Amino acid sequence: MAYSNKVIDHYENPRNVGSFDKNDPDVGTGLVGAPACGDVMKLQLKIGDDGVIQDARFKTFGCGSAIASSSLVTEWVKGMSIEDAEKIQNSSIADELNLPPVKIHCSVLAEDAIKAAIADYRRKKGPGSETEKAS
Amino acid sequence: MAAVRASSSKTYFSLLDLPARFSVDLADLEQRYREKSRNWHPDRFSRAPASERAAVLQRATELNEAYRTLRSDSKRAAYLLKLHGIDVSDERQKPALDPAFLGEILELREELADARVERDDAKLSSIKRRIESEQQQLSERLHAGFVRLEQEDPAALSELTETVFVQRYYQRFADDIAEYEEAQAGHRAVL
Repeated sequence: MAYSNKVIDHYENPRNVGSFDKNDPDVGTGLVGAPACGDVMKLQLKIGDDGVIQDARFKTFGCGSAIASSSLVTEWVKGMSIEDAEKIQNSSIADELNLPPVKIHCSVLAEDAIKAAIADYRRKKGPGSETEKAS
Repeated sequence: MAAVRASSSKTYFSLLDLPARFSVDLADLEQRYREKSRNWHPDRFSRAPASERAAVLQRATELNEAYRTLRSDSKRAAYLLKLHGIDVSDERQKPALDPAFLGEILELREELADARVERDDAKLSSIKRRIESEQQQLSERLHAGFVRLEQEDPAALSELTETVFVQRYYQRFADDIAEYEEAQAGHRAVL
Protein backbone atom coordinates (compact mmCIF):
# COMPACT_ATOMS: atom_id res chain seq x y z
CA MET A 1 0.00 0.00 0.00
CA ALA A 2 1.41 3.35 -1.00
CA TYR A 3 1.39 6.30 1.36
CA SER A 4 0.24 9.64 0.00
CA ASN A 5 2.84 12.36 -0.56
CA LYS A 6 1.48 14.33 2.37
CA VAL A 7 1.90 11.36 4.70
CA ILE A 8 5.46 10.83 3.48
CA ASP A 9 6.24 14.53 3.92
CA HIS A 10 5.02 14.57 7.54
CA TYR A 11 6.70 11.23 8.21
CA GLU A 12 10.06 12.35 6.86
CA ASN A 13 9.87 15.91 8.21
CA PRO A 14 7.62 15.67 11.24
CA ARG A 15 6.62 19.06 12.66
CA ASN A 16 6.76 19.87 16.34
CA VAL A 17 8.25 16.65 17.65
CA GLY A 18 9.15 16.81 21.30
CA SER A 19 7.79 17.43 24.76
CA PHE A 20 6.71 20.19 27.11
CA ASP A 21 6.95 19.86 30.87
CA LYS A 22 3.82 17.90 31.70
CA ASN A 23 3.65 19.58 35.12
CA ASP A 24 3.42 23.07 33.60
CA PRO A 25 -0.07 24.36 34.53
CA ASP A 26 -0.50 25.82 31.01
CA VAL A 27 0.22 22.50 29.31
CA GLY A 28 -2.39 19.87 28.56
CA THR A 29 -1.11 16.38 27.83
CA GLY A 30 -3.08 13.79 25.87
CA LEU A 31 -1.86 10.23 25.89
CA VAL A 32 -3.75 7.77 23.71
CA GLY A 33 -3.17 4.34 22.27
CA ALA A 34 -4.54 2.06 19.58
CA PRO A 35 -4.73 -1.35 21.20
CA ALA A 36 -5.41 -3.14 17.92
CA CYS A 37 -1.98 -2.22 16.58
CA GLY A 38 -0.09 -1.14 19.71
CA ASP A 39 0.56 2.44 18.57
CA VAL A 40 1.00 5.14 21.24
CA MET A 41 0.63 8.89 20.75
CA LYS A 42 1.40 11.78 23.09
CA LEU A 43 0.12 15.24 22.19
CA GLN A 44 0.84 18.31 24.30
CA LEU A 45 -0.77 21.74 23.96
CA LYS A 46 0.50 24.95 25.51
CA ILE A 47 -2.51 27.13 26.12
CA GLY A 48 -2.61 30.83 26.93
CA ASP A 49 -4.87 32.49 29.51
CA ASP A 50 -7.11 33.60 26.62
CA GLY A 51 -7.78 29.94 25.79
CA VAL A 52 -5.76 30.06 22.57
CA ILE A 53 -3.31 27.29 21.78
CA GLN A 54 0.12 28.85 21.55
CA ASP A 55 2.21 25.81 20.75
CA ALA A 56 2.00 22.05 20.34
CA ARG A 57 4.34 19.07 20.55
CA PHE A 58 3.91 15.40 19.84
CA LYS A 59 5.64 12.07 20.19
CA THR A 60 4.16 9.13 18.36
CA PHE A 61 5.42 5.59 18.27
CA GLY A 62 3.58 3.89 15.46
CA CYS A 63 3.15 3.68 11.72
CA GLY A 64 3.71 6.47 9.19
CA SER A 65 0.03 7.42 9.14
CA ALA A 66 -0.11 7.80 12.92
CA ILE A 67 3.01 9.99 12.88
CA ALA A 68 1.66 12.09 9.98
CA SER A 69 -1.76 12.50 11.66
CA SER A 70 -0.22 13.79 14.87
CA SER A 71 2.30 16.00 13.05
CA LEU A 72 -0.51 17.54 11.01
CA VAL A 73 -2.71 18.34 14.01
CA THR A 74 0.14 20.08 15.84
CA GLU A 75 0.29 22.47 12.86
CA TRP A 76 -3.45 22.90 12.71
CA VAL A 77 -4.15 23.65 16.36
CA LYS A 78 -1.60 26.43 16.79
CA GLY A 79 -3.51 29.69 17.05
CA MET A 80 -6.85 27.94 17.53
CA SER A 81 -9.04 28.39 20.58
CA ILE A 82 -9.45 25.19 22.55
CA GLU A 83 -13.15 25.22 21.64
CA ASP A 84 -12.28 25.15 17.94
CA ALA A 85 -9.51 22.57 18.39
CA GLU A 86 -12.01 20.30 20.11
CA LYS A 87 -14.16 20.37 17.01
CA ILE A 88 -11.45 18.89 14.76
CA GLN A 89 -12.85 15.71 13.28
CA ASN A 90 -10.80 12.70 12.33
CA SER A 91 -12.38 12.84 8.86
CA SER A 92 -10.69 16.19 8.14
CA ILE A 93 -7.33 14.69 9.10
CA ALA A 94 -7.94 11.59 6.99
CA ASP A 95 -9.04 13.74 4.00
CA GLU A 96 -6.04 16.05 4.24
CA LEU A 97 -3.64 13.10 4.31
CA ASN A 98 -5.61 10.90 1.88
CA LEU A 99 -5.55 8.06 4.39
CA PRO A 100 -6.76 4.72 3.06
CA PRO A 101 -9.63 3.02 4.98
CA VAL A 102 -7.29 0.70 6.92
CA LYS A 103 -5.47 3.76 8.31
CA ILE A 104 -8.50 5.79 9.33
CA HIS A 105 -7.98 4.69 12.94
CA CYS A 106 -4.70 6.68 12.95
CA SER A 107 -6.66 9.88 12.39
CA VAL A 108 -9.12 8.85 15.11
CA LEU A 109 -6.15 8.51 17.42
CA ALA A 110 -5.04 12.07 16.64
CA GLU A 111 -8.55 13.44 17.24
CA ASP A 112 -8.72 11.57 20.55
CA ALA A 113 -5.29 12.93 21.51
CA ILE A 114 -6.45 16.56 21.04
CA LYS A 115 -9.53 15.91 23.17
CA ALA A 116 -7.48 14.14 25.83
CA ALA A 117 -4.95 17.02 25.96
CA ILE A 118 -7.73 19.61 26.35
CA ALA A 119 -9.43 17.51 29.03
CA ASP A 120 -6.12 17.30 30.91
CA TYR A 121 -5.68 21.09 30.66
CA ARG A 122 -9.18 21.71 31.99
CA ARG A 123 -8.58 19.29 34.84
CA LYS A 124 -5.45 21.21 35.76
CA LYS A 125 -7.22 24.56 35.70
CA GLY A 126 -9.99 23.19 37.88
CA PRO A 127 -13.74 23.70 37.62
CA GLY A 128 -13.75 27.18 39.16
CA SER A 129 -11.14 28.75 36.93
CA GLU A 130 -12.02 31.24 34.21
CA THR A 131 -9.86 30.02 31.39
CA GLU A 132 -12.71 29.06 29.10
CA LYS A 133 -13.87 32.50 28.11
CA ALA A 134 -12.08 35.81 28.56
CA SER A 135 -14.76 38.14 27.30
CA MET B 1 -14.25 -40.91 -0.24
CA ALA B 2 -16.34 -38.98 2.24
CA ALA B 3 -18.17 -35.94 0.99
CA VAL B 4 -16.31 -32.75 1.78
CA ARG B 5 -18.39 -29.97 3.19
CA ALA B 6 -17.59 -26.38 3.98
CA SER B 7 -16.50 -26.10 7.58
CA SER B 8 -17.66 -22.61 8.46
CA SER B 9 -19.28 -23.86 11.67
CA LYS B 10 -16.01 -25.36 12.80
CA THR B 11 -13.56 -23.60 15.07
CA TYR B 12 -9.79 -23.80 14.80
CA PHE B 13 -9.93 -26.03 17.86
CA SER B 14 -12.48 -28.44 16.46
CA LEU B 15 -10.60 -28.64 13.15
CA LEU B 16 -7.78 -30.20 15.15
CA ASP B 17 -10.14 -32.17 17.45
CA LEU B 18 -9.10 -30.16 20.45
CA PRO B 19 -11.22 -28.67 23.23
CA ALA B 20 -11.48 -24.86 23.06
CA ARG B 21 -9.07 -24.21 25.92
CA PHE B 22 -6.09 -21.92 26.37
CA SER B 23 -3.89 -24.68 27.71
CA VAL B 24 -2.42 -26.50 24.71
CA ASP B 25 0.35 -29.09 24.43
CA LEU B 26 2.41 -27.69 21.56
CA ALA B 27 3.99 -31.01 20.57
CA ASP B 28 0.54 -32.63 20.46
CA LEU B 29 -0.80 -29.67 18.47
CA GLU B 30 1.92 -30.04 15.87
CA GLN B 31 1.35 -33.77 15.53
CA ARG B 32 -2.39 -33.26 15.04
CA TYR B 33 -1.73 -30.59 12.44
CA ARG B 34 0.64 -32.84 10.50
CA GLU B 35 -1.78 -35.77 10.52
CA LYS B 36 -4.73 -33.66 9.40
CA SER B 37 -2.68 -31.93 6.76
CA ARG B 38 -1.76 -35.27 5.27
CA ASN B 39 -5.43 -36.28 5.15
CA TRP B 40 -6.43 -33.04 3.50
CA HIS B 41 -3.52 -32.60 1.18
CA PRO B 42 -4.81 -31.29 -2.20
CA ASP B 43 -2.61 -33.81 -4.05
CA ARG B 44 -4.73 -36.63 -2.68
CA PHE B 45 -7.79 -35.17 -4.34
CA SER B 46 -6.29 -34.42 -7.73
CA ARG B 47 -8.86 -36.62 -9.51
CA ALA B 48 -11.85 -35.45 -7.50
CA PRO B 49 -14.46 -33.13 -9.05
CA ALA B 50 -13.57 -29.44 -9.13
CA SER B 51 -16.06 -28.50 -6.42
CA GLU B 52 -14.58 -31.07 -4.07
CA ARG B 53 -11.04 -30.00 -4.88
CA ALA B 54 -11.97 -26.42 -4.00
CA ALA B 55 -13.43 -27.54 -0.68
CA VAL B 56 -10.31 -29.57 0.10
CA LEU B 57 -8.11 -26.60 -0.66
CA GLN B 58 -10.24 -24.47 1.61
CA ARG B 59 -9.94 -27.04 4.38
CA ALA B 60 -6.16 -27.22 3.96
CA THR B 61 -5.96 -23.42 4.20
CA GLU B 62 -8.12 -23.42 7.32
CA LEU B 63 -5.88 -26.03 8.88
CA ASN B 64 -2.80 -23.92 8.26
CA GLU B 65 -4.50 -20.89 9.73
CA ALA B 66 -5.72 -22.93 12.71
CA TYR B 67 -2.22 -24.19 13.43
CA ARG B 68 -0.64 -20.75 13.07
CA THR B 69 -3.22 -19.26 15.41
CA LEU B 70 -3.23 -21.93 18.08
CA ARG B 71 0.50 -22.37 18.47
CA SER B 72 0.98 -18.72 19.52
CA ASP B 73 -0.07 -17.77 23.06
CA SER B 74 -1.20 -14.29 22.05
CA LYS B 75 -3.05 -15.38 18.91
CA ARG B 76 -4.71 -18.29 20.70
CA ALA B 77 -5.81 -15.94 23.49
CA ALA B 78 -7.23 -13.44 20.98
CA TYR B 79 -9.00 -16.23 19.11
CA LEU B 80 -10.58 -17.62 22.29
CA LEU B 81 -11.85 -14.14 23.12
CA LYS B 82 -13.30 -13.93 19.61
CA LEU B 83 -15.19 -17.16 20.26
CA HIS B 84 -16.57 -15.33 23.31
CA GLY B 85 -17.67 -12.44 21.08
CA ILE B 86 -14.78 -10.05 21.73
CA ASP B 87 -12.74 -8.98 18.71
CA VAL B 88 -9.52 -7.44 20.01
CA SER B 89 -8.30 -6.63 16.50
CA ASP B 90 -11.25 -4.30 15.95
CA GLU B 91 -9.77 -0.81 15.75
CA ARG B 92 -12.87 0.76 17.24
CA GLN B 93 -12.28 -1.07 20.50
CA LYS B 94 -11.31 1.42 23.16
CA PRO B 95 -10.75 -0.50 26.33
CA ALA B 96 -10.40 1.47 29.53
CA LEU B 97 -6.79 0.61 30.23
CA ASP B 98 -4.99 1.96 33.25
CA PRO B 99 -3.86 5.44 32.09
CA ALA B 100 -0.54 4.93 33.86
CA PHE B 101 0.08 1.95 31.60
CA LEU B 102 0.19 4.04 28.40
CA GLY B 103 2.57 6.40 30.18
CA GLU B 104 4.87 3.49 31.01
CA ILE B 105 4.83 2.24 27.43
CA LEU B 106 5.60 5.71 26.11
CA GLU B 107 8.46 6.15 28.60
CA LEU B 108 9.91 2.80 27.63
CA ARG B 109 9.61 3.75 23.96
CA GLU B 110 11.46 7.00 24.61
CA GLU B 111 14.19 5.14 26.49
CA LEU B 112 14.54 2.75 23.57
CA ALA B 113 14.77 5.61 21.07
CA ASP B 114 17.45 7.31 23.21
CA ALA B 115 19.43 4.09 23.61
CA ARG B 116 19.44 3.67 19.84
CA VAL B 117 20.63 7.21 19.23
CA GLU B 118 23.35 6.79 21.86
CA ARG B 119 24.18 3.29 20.59
CA ASP B 120 23.99 2.11 24.19
CA ASP B 121 23.97 -1.67 23.82
CA ALA B 122 23.76 -2.34 27.56
CA LYS B 123 20.64 -0.17 27.80
CA LEU B 124 19.15 -1.81 24.71
CA SER B 125 19.52 -5.29 26.13
CA SER B 126 18.18 -4.20 29.51
CA ILE B 127 15.05 -2.82 27.79
CA LYS B 128 14.71 -6.06 25.84
CA ARG B 129 14.91 -8.09 29.05
CA ARG B 130 12.24 -5.90 30.66
CA ILE B 131 9.92 -6.48 27.69
CA GLU B 132 10.55 -10.22 27.79
CA SER B 133 9.86 -10.38 31.50
CA GLU B 134 6.62 -8.38 31.06
CA GLN B 135 5.56 -10.75 28.29
CA GLN B 136 6.33 -13.74 30.49
CA GLN B 137 4.17 -12.31 33.28
CA LEU B 138 1.37 -11.52 30.85
CA SER B 139 1.49 -15.07 29.56
CA GLU B 140 1.10 -16.37 33.10
CA ARG B 141 -1.82 -13.98 33.68
CA LEU B 142 -3.46 -15.35 30.54
CA HIS B 143 -3.08 -18.94 31.72
CA ALA B 144 -4.58 -18.11 35.11
CA GLY B 145 -7.33 -15.99 33.55
CA PHE B 146 -8.48 -18.67 31.13
CA VAL B 147 -8.58 -21.23 33.92
CA ARG B 148 -10.94 -18.85 35.77
CA LEU B 149 -12.99 -18.34 32.61
CA GLU B 150 -13.43 -22.09 32.29
CA GLN B 151 -14.59 -22.14 35.90
CA GLU B 152 -17.14 -19.50 34.83
CA ASP B 153 -15.78 -16.69 36.93
CA PRO B 154 -17.85 -13.70 35.67
CA ALA B 155 -15.01 -11.19 36.01
CA ALA B 156 -12.54 -13.30 34.05
CA LEU B 157 -13.59 -12.25 30.53
CA SER B 158 -13.11 -8.50 30.94
CA GLU B 159 -9.80 -9.00 32.76
CA LEU B 160 -8.60 -11.31 30.01
CA THR B 161 -9.57 -8.77 27.37
CA GLU B 162 -7.51 -6.13 29.13
CA THR B 163 -4.56 -8.52 29.44
CA VAL B 164 -4.70 -9.32 25.72
CA PHE B 165 -4.76 -5.60 24.87
CA VAL B 166 -1.80 -4.91 27.14
CA GLN B 167 -0.02 -7.84 25.55
CA ARG B 168 -0.52 -6.33 22.09
CA TYR B 169 1.34 -3.19 23.12
CA TYR B 170 4.26 -5.25 24.36
CA GLN B 171 4.13 -7.47 21.28
CA ARG B 172 4.36 -4.42 19.05
CA PHE B 173 7.32 -3.28 21.11
CA ALA B 174 9.03 -6.68 20.88
CA ASP B 175 8.43 -6.79 17.10
CA ASP B 176 9.98 -3.36 16.79
CA ILE B 177 13.07 -4.50 18.73
CA ALA B 178 13.36 -7.65 16.58
CA GLU B 179 13.08 -5.60 13.38
CA TYR B 180 15.75 -3.20 14.57
CA GLU B 181 18.10 -6.04 15.49
CA GLU B 182 17.62 -7.62 12.08
CA ALA B 183 18.33 -4.31 10.38
CA GLN B 184 21.46 -3.87 12.52
CA ALA B 185 22.65 -7.40 11.73
CA GLY B 186 22.11 -6.68 8.03
CA HIS B 187 24.01 -3.42 8.38
CA ARG B 188 26.95 -5.16 10.05
CA ALA B 189 26.98 -7.85 7.37
CA VAL B 190 27.26 -5.15 4.72
CA LEU B 191 30.13 -3.48 6.58
